[in-house]
Amino acid sequence: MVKKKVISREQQRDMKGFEEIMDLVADDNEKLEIENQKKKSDKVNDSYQLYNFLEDESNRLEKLSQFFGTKISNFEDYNQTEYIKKKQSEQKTLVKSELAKFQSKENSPLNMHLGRLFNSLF
Amino acid sequence: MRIPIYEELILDNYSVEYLKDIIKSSKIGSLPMYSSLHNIPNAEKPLVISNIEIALRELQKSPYFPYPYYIVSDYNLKSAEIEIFNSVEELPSHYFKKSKRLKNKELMLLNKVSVICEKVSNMQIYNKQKVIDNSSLAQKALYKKTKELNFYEEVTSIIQKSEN
Repeated sequence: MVKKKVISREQQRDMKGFEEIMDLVADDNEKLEIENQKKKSDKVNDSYQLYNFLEDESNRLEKLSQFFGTKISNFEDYNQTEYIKKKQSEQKTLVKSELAKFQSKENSPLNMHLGRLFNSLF
Repeated sequence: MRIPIYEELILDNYSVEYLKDIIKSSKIGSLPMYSSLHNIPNAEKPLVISNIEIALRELQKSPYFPYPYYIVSDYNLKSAEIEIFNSVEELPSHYFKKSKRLKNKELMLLNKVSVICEKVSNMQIYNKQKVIDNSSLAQKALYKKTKELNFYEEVTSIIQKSEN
C-alpha cells in the first residue's frame, strides 16, 4: 500500500503552481513502489509454490511407496482374483438357474409375450 | 538431491552398451529427465528408441517411476515403453519449476523427498510393473464376469419387484 502523507494548509499554499510537477514525481514513486511490492509478492509466491510442489512430491512418492511396497507385494503373495472369479461363476450359475426356473413357469412374462407373439402370427 | 525439475540427458552415441553406461551414471529415476533426438536423422530414430528401451530393460529401470524419463522428437514415433513428445514445451508442466536457493524448511522437505525417492527406487519397480501387466488379463476376465452377474441380478430383482 502507498502511504498517504498529511499536508498542512501552509504547505499546500507553498506548493501552489507546482501541483502538476508534484503529480509526475509522485506517479514515478508510486510506480517504483508498486514494482517493488510486486517483486516481493512474486518472491513469496514462488517460495510458496515451491514448498507446495515439494509437499505434493513427498505425498506422491509416499503413495508410490505404499503401492509398490505393500499393495503389489500383497497382491503377489495373496492373489485372490482366481478365487473371486470362481465365486462369481458359481453365483452366476445360481442366479441364471433361478431366472430360468421363473421364466419356465406357464404364466411367466417370457411365456406370456411368446404366446402373444404366436397368437398374432397364426 | 536437487529440486525435481527437468534435466536433459544428452546422448552422443546410440549403441546399447554406451546407453547402458550413460543411463547407469545418470539420474534417471531420481530426477525427471528427457533426451532430445533432434540431431539424429529420422530413419535412425526408431532404432535409437529401441536401443534406449533395451538399455532401460537390461538395467531394470522404469521410465515412469519414481520420476519419468521422456524422449523429445519432432518426428512422429511410437514407443510401447517410453513416452515421446514433439518438443520440450509439450512435456508435462508439473516439473517445470523455477530453480532457486532453498530455505531451511524447503531443504528439509527436499531431504524427505530424496529419502522416499530412494526407497521407491529400491523396490524393483520394473519387476512389479510386470506383475501388474501380467495380472491385467485375469482382472479383465473378472470384470466381465462381475458385469454379467450384475446384469442377471438386476433382471431377477426387477422381476421380483414386479411380482410383489
